[in-house]
Amino acid sequence: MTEAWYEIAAMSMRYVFLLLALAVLLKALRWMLRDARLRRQTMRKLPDAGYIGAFYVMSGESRRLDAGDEIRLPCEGTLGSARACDVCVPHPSVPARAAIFWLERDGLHMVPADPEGFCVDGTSVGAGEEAVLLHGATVTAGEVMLQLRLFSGVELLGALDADGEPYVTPEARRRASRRRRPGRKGRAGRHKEESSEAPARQGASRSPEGELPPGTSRRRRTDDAPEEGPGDGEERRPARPGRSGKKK
Amino acid sequence: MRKRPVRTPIRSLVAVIMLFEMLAFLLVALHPERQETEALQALGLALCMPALCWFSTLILPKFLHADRLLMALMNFLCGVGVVILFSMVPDRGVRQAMFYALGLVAMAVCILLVRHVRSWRALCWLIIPAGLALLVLPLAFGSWQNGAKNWVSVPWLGSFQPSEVVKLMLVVVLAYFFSAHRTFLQMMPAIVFTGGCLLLLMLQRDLGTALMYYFTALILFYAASGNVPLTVLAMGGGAGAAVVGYNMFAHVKVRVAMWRNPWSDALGSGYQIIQALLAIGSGGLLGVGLGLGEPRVIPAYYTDFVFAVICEQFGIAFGVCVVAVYVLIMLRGLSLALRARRSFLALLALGCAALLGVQTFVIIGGVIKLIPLTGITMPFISYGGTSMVSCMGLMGFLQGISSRVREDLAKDIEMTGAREEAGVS
Amino acid sequence: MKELRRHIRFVGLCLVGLFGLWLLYFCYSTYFYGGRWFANPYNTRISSKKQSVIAGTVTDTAGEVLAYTDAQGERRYAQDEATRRAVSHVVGDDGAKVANGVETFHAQYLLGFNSNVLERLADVIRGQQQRGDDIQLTISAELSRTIAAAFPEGRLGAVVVLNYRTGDVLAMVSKGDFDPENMDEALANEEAGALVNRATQGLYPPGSVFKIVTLASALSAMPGVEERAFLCTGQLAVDRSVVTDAGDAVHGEQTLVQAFSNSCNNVFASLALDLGYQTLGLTAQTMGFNDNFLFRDLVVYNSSYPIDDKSLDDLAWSGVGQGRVLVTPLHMAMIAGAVANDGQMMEPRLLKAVVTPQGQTRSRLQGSAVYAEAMTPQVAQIIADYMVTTVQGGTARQAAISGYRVGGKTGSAEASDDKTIDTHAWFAGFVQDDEHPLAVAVVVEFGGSGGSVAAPLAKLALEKAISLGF
Repeated sequence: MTEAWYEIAAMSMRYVFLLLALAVLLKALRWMLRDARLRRQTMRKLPDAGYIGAFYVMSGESRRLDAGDEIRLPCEGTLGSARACDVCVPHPSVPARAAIFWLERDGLHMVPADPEGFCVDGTSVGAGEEAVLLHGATVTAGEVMLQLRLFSGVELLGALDADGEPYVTPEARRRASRRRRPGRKGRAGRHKEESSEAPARQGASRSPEGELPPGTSRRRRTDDAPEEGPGDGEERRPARPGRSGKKK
Repeated sequence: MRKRPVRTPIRSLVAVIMLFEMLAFLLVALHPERQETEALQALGLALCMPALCWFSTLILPKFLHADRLLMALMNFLCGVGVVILFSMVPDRGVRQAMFYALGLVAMAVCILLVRHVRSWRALCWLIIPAGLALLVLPLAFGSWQNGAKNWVSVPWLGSFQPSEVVKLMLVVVLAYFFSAHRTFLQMMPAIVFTGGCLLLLMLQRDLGTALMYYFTALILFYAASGNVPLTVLAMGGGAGAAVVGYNMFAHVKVRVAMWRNPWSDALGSGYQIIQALLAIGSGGLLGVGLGLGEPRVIPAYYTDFVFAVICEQFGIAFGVCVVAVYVLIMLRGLSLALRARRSFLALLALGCAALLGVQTFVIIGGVIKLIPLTGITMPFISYGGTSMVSCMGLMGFLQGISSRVREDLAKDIEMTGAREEAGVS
Repeated sequence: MKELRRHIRFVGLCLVGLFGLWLLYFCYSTYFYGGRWFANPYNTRISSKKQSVIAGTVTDTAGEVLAYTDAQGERRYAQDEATRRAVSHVVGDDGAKVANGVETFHAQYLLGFNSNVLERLADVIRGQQQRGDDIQLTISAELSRTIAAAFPEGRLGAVVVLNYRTGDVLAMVSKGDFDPENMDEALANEEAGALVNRATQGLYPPGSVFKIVTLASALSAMPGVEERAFLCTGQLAVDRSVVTDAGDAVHGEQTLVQAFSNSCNNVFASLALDLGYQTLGLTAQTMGFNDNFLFRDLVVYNSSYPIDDKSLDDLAWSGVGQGRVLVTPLHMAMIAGAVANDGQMMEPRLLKAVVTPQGQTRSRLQGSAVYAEAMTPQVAQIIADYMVTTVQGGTARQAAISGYRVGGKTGSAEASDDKTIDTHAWFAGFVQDDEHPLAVAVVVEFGGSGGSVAAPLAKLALEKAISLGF
């Protein structure tokens, strides 16, 4: 091809390339907006998404807080009276930022963020100490007593993830095909073996129908919980089942 | 089991990208100066690159559960890079395509890393000495090039730039040690590691990379701690270090002088930036056309100044589109960081997105004389194996986090669905 | 996590803002400077394109050919040497040795960089070599020849004639000149600065022609200054120096118009002291001093007026155009034109039309544009009257043209402390006539007195321009 013809070809292609680049940009933008919209829809249908449980206010009233209130908690966050806290306990006696918590395989770890500290099941936890909470444990910060209730998980059929692809858990697949064999094929090997404890499939642990006795060992199937909380690997005493532990 | 077929925009986006790559390579193959072998290579690339794009965007995510938009955008950028490099020096273009394929492997490795690693703590404590050792390598074995000593020649790989690999390690270490419920004392290992890296980079005179590391660490520190006074103090410290660097290093003085007025030394130190500006000015809005123009007049036209070449050949409008794609990738990474449930994942995503954004900004700012020139490369587009691999690694982290986030969401859907089934509100 | 998310959002905003900043700067610098980057002499693309394109023809406003490409592909210029030398700096040279001549600055037209695909396709189909666009300048070759011939022999300097209504530059003669067909000789003579366009790039102390600016400032900031009586004692003592007049003249009692007409340094230095740095500086900047000139058609170096408060001496001397004040002849012509044009300073234009090889005019050229509102119409009218008085009975009487309303201001700018070296001879003026809206600026380096050296040259230039119908 001679130079002149190539020049003409290249000059005409300029417009094509620019249009293609703009198309890429616009489609990508549209996709991002669509994703955001889908996510909003999903979140609306799942108001509990991201939350692993709730703190049930057992005692301690204030203008904005009543006994029996439920405050949901995510798997990592802060607890305090400030609005910016993930678990916001709007009581004047609770410090602005009372504690920091995160979920690990053995329970909900909590460290005080305030020199005052807090109490877990009656034992006080001071600065530099770490507590491990199980389902039903109580936390007392200031004058407010909260009881931890973890959600439990059950499988679901035919859900869609944000990409529009049907998400099917191995369990659901098993149930759908009515396989007889128990045990799970881990998806990409992430799921570990089920613990010996019976998986909590009762499915009713979310609604607070009456108080649960403290120190119950019923807990969420946290075996498949995200593993590497930053506290991972730190030395800890093995959590004694049935008792919220305190860590030094 | 209900399977609702949902139309996704992925197919049309991938089609556009594949079309672009095919047309561009075809055009490049027709260039009158192409020799037989090169033309064949171009035609081969016209088939391979779109195929790789299709594979990585539509097939791979099925197995690795990656974010397909990020894949697509990344493919577009790599495609632009390979095309422009091929049209200038075919040999480099082919090698860049190979680096790209290699990078896809690296990305897959990083995705699996994020999804499967159990004990990040052990990994981090391993990384810290390994990273510092890698950065010492060029000082011990490397040679001076362009005023910086950040390359090492590896026998069968060619030249290797350790600071790019340490980039990945830095982000992981920072994210791990800065994640929630850390006291300042517990954050120290990461800060010490960053300080060590910065020091070693200063010794290597690789100030651009040091700048990148510094800003990423600053961003992660602010995000994790929210401690404004300390952040401002750190910024002041950085500014102070910059002033010290200016006074200590002669070539920094030269760079700043050339930034202010390159025409004062048009044939010497200012030549680079002047030629880049001339190229951008000659391109105009639409460019002169792929394969036309005189890109080789610009020094370092295949690494630092690829953006000027893109603006010359494809046009300024196209260049702005490319930058917009970078911004979209960064925004996607940031939205990922917002959706992550664990602070470690959130900080890792933030670190990757910020690193990519800062690197891109520093290089395109230098090319248009917004800030003085530094010696860093443009992610995905600049020629360079380690650069491509490390940027793909960053993307791999982002993809891994994306898949984790989606799994978390799916579990939530599960749980809620189960509760609904059980008849509980 | 909420706090973390908040911080992430903030960081995200900052990063996006950073890129937004980049985009703004990119658009700004490519829009304003893109053309200049392209026309830079270091741009090798221009010289390589010359090998494949037949460069277009450059003609003056009457159609006289100033530069063309001959059949062998060589670049040739006007037929006779006088013309070549007279327009040498405007047209420039083939090898980009003259920065910003039309040959280099408008290479995008002459070498066909702006041609679109269809034109190229037509060229290839017809088997023709690509031709660049032809440019028609606003310059008049005949006027330039006359001016160049009348310029004092052996002296350096510049003359600019422009149309103050449209901004068209009718003549831009810079002496020492060169012959573009004989570049080797020109390059050997470079110590004389023959390749510098003194009209647009020569920065001179304006001397008394700057009094136009001081006058404008006084008229706008000091109400009633016209009726004031001034006393010139021949010596005005300022902080550490004494302001004297040319030839140690003592003017005695004068009104403002008399002081302007006599070009009295005493009065204007005291006016400057009364006005102060800020006010006078503001007026100067409104009239274009310290501004970064980014004209579309030509490159003009920036005039400077010092705005830092160095000393009272500095201020006094700045008021009479000495000290650190510097101006180009083209800018001075623009100022004179603004006075005649009711205060509106027009952007100087050099390109009248750009014609494609197929004969179509490129629509890219925009019309005349107002560069700045240099002064209010009332102030402009008063200054115009003063300048006319100066030509009728003052220092500029040698510029008078019978039958026309001519205004002007002379200047003898000291260029060195050495009293034995002559001053630069300046003249800035206009013909205020609707059919001949002309403004002129003349500077003769070390020429002596403005009234006796520069004013007659200006008169000649204006007369010739009028006779040519501009």
